[in-house]
Amino acid sequence: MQRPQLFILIDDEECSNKISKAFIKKLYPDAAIADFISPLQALLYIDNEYTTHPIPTAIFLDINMPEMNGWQVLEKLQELQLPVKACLAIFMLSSSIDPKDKQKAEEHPLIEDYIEKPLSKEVLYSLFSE
Amino acid sequence: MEYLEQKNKEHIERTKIAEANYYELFDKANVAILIMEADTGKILEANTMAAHLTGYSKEELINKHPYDTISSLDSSISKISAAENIRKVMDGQDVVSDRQYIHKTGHVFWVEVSISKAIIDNCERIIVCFHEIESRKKAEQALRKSEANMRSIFQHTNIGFGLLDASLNIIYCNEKANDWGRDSLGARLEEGKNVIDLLPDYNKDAYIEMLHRALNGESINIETAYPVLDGTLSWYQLRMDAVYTPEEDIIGVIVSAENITDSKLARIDRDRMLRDLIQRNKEHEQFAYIVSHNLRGPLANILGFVNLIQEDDNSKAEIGEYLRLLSESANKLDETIRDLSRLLQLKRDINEVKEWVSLSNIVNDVRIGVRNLIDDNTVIFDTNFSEVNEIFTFKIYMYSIVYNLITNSIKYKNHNRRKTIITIRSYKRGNKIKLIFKDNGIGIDLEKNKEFVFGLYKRFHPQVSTGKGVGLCMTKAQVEGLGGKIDIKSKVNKGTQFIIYLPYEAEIN
Repeated sequence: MQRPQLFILIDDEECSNKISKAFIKKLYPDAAIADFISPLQALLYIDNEYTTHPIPTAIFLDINMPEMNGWQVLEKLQELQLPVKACLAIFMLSSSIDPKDKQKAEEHPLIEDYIEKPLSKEVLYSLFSE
Repeated sequence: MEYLEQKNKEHIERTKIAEANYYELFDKANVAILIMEADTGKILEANTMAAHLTGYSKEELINKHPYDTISSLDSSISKISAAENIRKVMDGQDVVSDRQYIHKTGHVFWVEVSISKAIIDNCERIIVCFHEIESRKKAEQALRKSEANMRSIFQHTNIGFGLLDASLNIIYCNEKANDWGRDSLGARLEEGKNVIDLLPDYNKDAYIEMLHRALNGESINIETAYPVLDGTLSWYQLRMDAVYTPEEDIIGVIVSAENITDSKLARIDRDRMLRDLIQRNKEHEQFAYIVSHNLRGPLANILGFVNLIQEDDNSKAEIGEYLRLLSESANKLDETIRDLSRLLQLKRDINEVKEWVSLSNIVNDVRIGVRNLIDDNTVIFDTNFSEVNEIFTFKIYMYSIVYNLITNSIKYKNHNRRKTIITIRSYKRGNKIKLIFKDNGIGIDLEKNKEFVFGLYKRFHPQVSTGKGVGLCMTKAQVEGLGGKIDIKSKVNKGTQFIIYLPYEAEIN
């Protein structure tokens, strides 16, 4: 997928978002980053902002969150019927090394890829290089 | 002279005819008759039926003793009773009895014998009449044999049997049932006694009700426990069935009880072990889950920050921040590991000592302990332990439970309220104590989170960033470790209530 102009980070842990944000800034200093610790807030943002201004976007989504887990977020995203799915890539970014989680993510139609935390420059390179 | 001679001749003729008639009567009678000499017991005469029934000819029978032919010499009893009979008969009594004779061919047959005394030819004679009673005797014998079998089974069985009439009076009880009466009631189960009077209070109404249901035709078959006088409890397989006449009327009930204590106890043990095993398996799975998810989380952050720090375009401020966050994550990981280890340790704690613990004192201790959390006098405690204040338990556990619940209420207080009110009450409930911890905090959405409330590291209020949510999981483990139960009621923005049941005397499970 082409280089994203917007990164949306959804993770209940601040530290996690900080790390991801720092690496993304190093690689893509011109990209916009919107990070959320509340999935609900993130969904509101996507519904309001992204649908009206669809630009190449990458979403990094955690699995285990108290408010709502990653799988439930995906269900909600499916309901939104995002207009331009072609320029939207969703990645699962989780600390879980449970093979079941990995398999579920790989089989999910909306998920582009499953990434084990922590996010790094190398991983980012490999995701978006043409 | 001729007249007299003539009369004599006629008399002799008439006598001869009479004799012939009598002999005909004797010989052709439909019953076997033997005429025996009183003192020797020898057979003097035998009629045709006697010969026919015994298989011997008259000649073979006459002038011999019955023992030489038809009577058995085997049993000394029969010899004695025979002599007895003769004596009775000579005294003028008539004797009727059943005995066995031996046919000439050797097979034995039953006869009913009637013996009487008669004077024949001026001598005392014994008349023995007999007839066959084979089939009747066989039936009687069979009945007696089956009766003996039944009695034997009845008496030697391991099952207690009791036969009651329609008013629940005892008609018959076997030995085993009497053993039970002795061991559990301290009474003999005598014929005529009524079950309603005999039974003590233990579940009396339930058993009487079952007996009435059986009298109505219902078949009862249950496992039941009944106390023994020595204080133990025995288990029985109890059955009750109605007893019917051939016309299908119910005239009583038969009760049977089989002692199944050993197998029941074995089954209870096995069930408990199974439950323990399943529980331990669940805990293992939980533990495995916790390890993979909760340990890796902070570790991933540590790795992330280490990576960041190694970049060469960081500002000093950035490096400073990353190091700080790195250290925080490392500490979080350390605490997680300690918590998990403490959780494991909980299960192994058997070295603590039980003592009488005052609930009011514990609450006061906790209030002192949380002084620094309550910085602004806005927390009010409303406690009442008037119903029950003392519990025989492990002090350290009680303290920990109370501490966790109180700090929980303080941490999750509702900022929209002027005062945080924590209400604690204790109640007596049978052989348990009921404790209620209520607060007016922000509450938890139980509809979403009911199953996860007592799980490890489930945080429902991420904005309340202090605390990692292990408290409730620990509390549940501790309550259950004392043999108790904990439940939760909550309404968002209204408050939360914890209901704890603890046995008066705590046990380690």
